[in-house]
Amino acid sequence: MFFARMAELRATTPVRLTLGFLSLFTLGSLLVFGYLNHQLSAALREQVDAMLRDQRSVFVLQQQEHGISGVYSLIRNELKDKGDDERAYRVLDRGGRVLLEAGSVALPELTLQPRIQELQLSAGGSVRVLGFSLPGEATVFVGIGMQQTARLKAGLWRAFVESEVLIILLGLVVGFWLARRFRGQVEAFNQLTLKIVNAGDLSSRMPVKGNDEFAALAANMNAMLGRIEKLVQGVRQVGDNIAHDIRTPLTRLRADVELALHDGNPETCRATLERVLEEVEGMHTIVNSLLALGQAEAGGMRLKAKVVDLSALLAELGELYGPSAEDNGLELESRVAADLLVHGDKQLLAQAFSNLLDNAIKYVPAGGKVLLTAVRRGKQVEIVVEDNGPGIPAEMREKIFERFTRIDPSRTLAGSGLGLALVKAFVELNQGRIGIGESALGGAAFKITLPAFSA
Amino acid sequence: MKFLMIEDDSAAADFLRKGLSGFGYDVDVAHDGEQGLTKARGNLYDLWMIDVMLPKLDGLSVLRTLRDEGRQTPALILSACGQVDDRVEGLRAGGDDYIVKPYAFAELQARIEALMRRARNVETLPETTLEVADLKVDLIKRSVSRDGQELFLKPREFRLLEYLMRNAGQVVTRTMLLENVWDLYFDPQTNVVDVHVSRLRFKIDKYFDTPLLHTVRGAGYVLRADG
Repeated sequence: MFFARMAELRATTPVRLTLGFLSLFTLGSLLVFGYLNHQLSAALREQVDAMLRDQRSVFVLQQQEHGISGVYSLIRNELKDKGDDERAYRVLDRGGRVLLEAGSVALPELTLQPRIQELQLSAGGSVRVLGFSLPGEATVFVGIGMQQTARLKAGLWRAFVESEVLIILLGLVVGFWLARRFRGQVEAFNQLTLKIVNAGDLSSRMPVKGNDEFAALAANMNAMLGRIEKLVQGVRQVGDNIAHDIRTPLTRLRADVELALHDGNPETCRATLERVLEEVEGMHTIVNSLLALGQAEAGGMRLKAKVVDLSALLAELGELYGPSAEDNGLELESRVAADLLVHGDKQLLAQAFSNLLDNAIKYVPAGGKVLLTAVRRGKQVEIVVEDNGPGIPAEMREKIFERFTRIDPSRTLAGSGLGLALVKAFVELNQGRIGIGESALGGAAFKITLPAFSA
Repeated sequence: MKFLMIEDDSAAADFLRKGLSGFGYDVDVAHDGEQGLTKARGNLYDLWMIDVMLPKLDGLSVLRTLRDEGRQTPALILSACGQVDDRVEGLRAGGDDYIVKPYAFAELQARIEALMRRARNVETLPETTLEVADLKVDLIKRSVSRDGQELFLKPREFRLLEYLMRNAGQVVTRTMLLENVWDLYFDPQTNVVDVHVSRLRFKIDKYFDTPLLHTVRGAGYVLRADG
C-alpha cells in the first residue's frame, strides 16, 4: 500500500523535482567536501612538516652548544612537553648503531633522505619522518604521527555524512508533502474536467481557495466554463427556436392539408395549396435569414465595397416605405442630409435599414410616427430610425440583437426574430456600429454609425 | 421552345424539366460544365439555364466562353449564392437574368417569360408608347391616359406601370418589381411592394369597368386586358 502510493507519487512533478534537486545537492556537497578534505590534509601536513623543520634547527643549535648530551636532554624535554604518543626520536652513531630510541611511535628501519617522508606504520596510521646528520657525531630521525590529523578528518567526514543524511531526509519529507498537496489540487482539476467530459455537466465549478497560482487557475477555469456554458446555452436556444419556428407552420400545414384532403372540394384544395405555398415561403425566409446570418457572422460573406450614396439610398427607402406606413396609419418622416457618402455594400445596407423600417411599421400602433434621420458627425455618418411606439425595455436592449429574441415572448406577433440580428451583422460587415436608446419621440431609437467616405 | 439546362443536381434538374414541360418548354439537361458547353455549341436553344457551381467547368466560365464565341442565346443564371456581387458577376459574364436558389417555381417561370419576350423584341425599334387595352403610356411625354382621360402618376408609379406594361400579359413577381423598379435586391419582411401596386391599381382601375392589373396568388401581378 505505502509502496504503491510511493510509486504513484514518484510520477508527479514535485517528486521528480525534489529527487532531482536532492541528487544534485548530494553530488555538489560531495565535491565541496572532497575539495575541503584535500585542502585540509595539505594544510595539516604542512603544519607537521614545519614542526619537523623547526625540530631540525633546534637539534642543530643544541648540538652546537651542548654536544650530544644536549641532544638527549632536548629529546627528554620535548617528550615531557608535547607528550610521547605522537612522537618518535631515533639517534644513530656514525656506524649506524642505535644510540637512542624514544617516543611511543615505533619507527621502522630508516635511511637518510633529504626530504620528509611519510611512512605507513604496521600498527596502523602513518608518520612523517625527517632525518638529518648532526655534524661529526650522529644521525637523528624525528617522526611526528598523523593519528590526530586522521581523527580530525574522520570527525569531519562523520559530521558531513550526518548532516547530508539529515538534509536528504528533510528534502524527501518536504518533497512528498509538496507532491501530495500539488497532486491534490491537480487531481481536483482532473476530476472536474473528467466530469465535464464524461457527463457533459458544464455547471460544475472549481472551489477557489487562497490566492496562489492554483486559485488563479481555478478562477480562470471557472470563467472559461461560464463562457462555454453560456455559448452552449445560446446554441441550444437557437436550435430550440429553429425547431419551434419550423414546427408551428408545419403543424398548421399538416392540419390544413388534412382538412382539404378530407373535404375533397377542388376550390378548398386550391385555397389550401395557396396557403401552403405562403407557409413554405415563410419558412424559406427563416432559413435564408439564418444562412445569411451564419455567413455574415462567420465572415464567409464576400463584400465588394463601393462608394454608396447613402442620401439617395435612404430617400429611396423612405419613398418605398412611405405608402406602407401611411396604410398602417403611421407618419414616416425622412430628414436626410444631402451628399452623405459611405464605403460599403449598398444592398446589405439597404436590407439593414429596411429591416428597421419594417419593424417600426410592424410594432408602432396606428397614429404613431416614425422618423428617419441621417447626418454627418465628423468622420462618421449617423443614421437614426426612431418612433413613438412602445419602445424596447432597457433590459432587452442587449439581447434584442441576438437571434430569435422577441420582446413578446408568446410570439404572437409575426416575425422571425432574425431581423435585428441581420441588421447588426450587416452593419458590422460594413464597419458600422449599432446601438439602441430612447427616442425623444417616446419610443425606440436605433442609431447606426458608419465611417463616412471622403475621397 | 427548347431550353438547355446545365445543372449537376439531377433531382433538381428532373423536377425543373417536368415542371417546365407542363408549360410547353422542352428541356435538355447537361450535368457538368463541359457537357453543357458541347450541347450549347451543337444545338440551337431558345434559352440557356446555367447553374454557377458545376463540376469540371463552372457556369460563369461556360457562359463567358459561349459569349466570346459570339453566341447570343438568352441566359438565365441559377445560383445558390444570394450575394449581390455574385449577381453582378453573373450579369457581367453575359447572363441576362439571375435567380437565387431556392426559388419559387412561379418566380422562375415569370423570369423565363420575361426573357423570352425580351428576346422576341430585340429587333424592334425602341417604343415611345405602350398600350394595353384602353390604357396608354407615352414614354416621351411621360403621360398616362385611360379611355382618353389623363391619369396623374407619381414618378415611381410611372416606372412601376412602365415595367408592368412592358411585361403585359406575363406574371411579374414582387422580387422582379423590387429589382427593376427600385434596384433593390432583397426580400422585405412586409408588404411594401403590394402597397405601391395597390396605389397604382387605384389610379388606373378604380374608376373604370374592366380591371387591368390583377393579383396572381402565390406569384405576383399581371397587367392584361382580359379578366
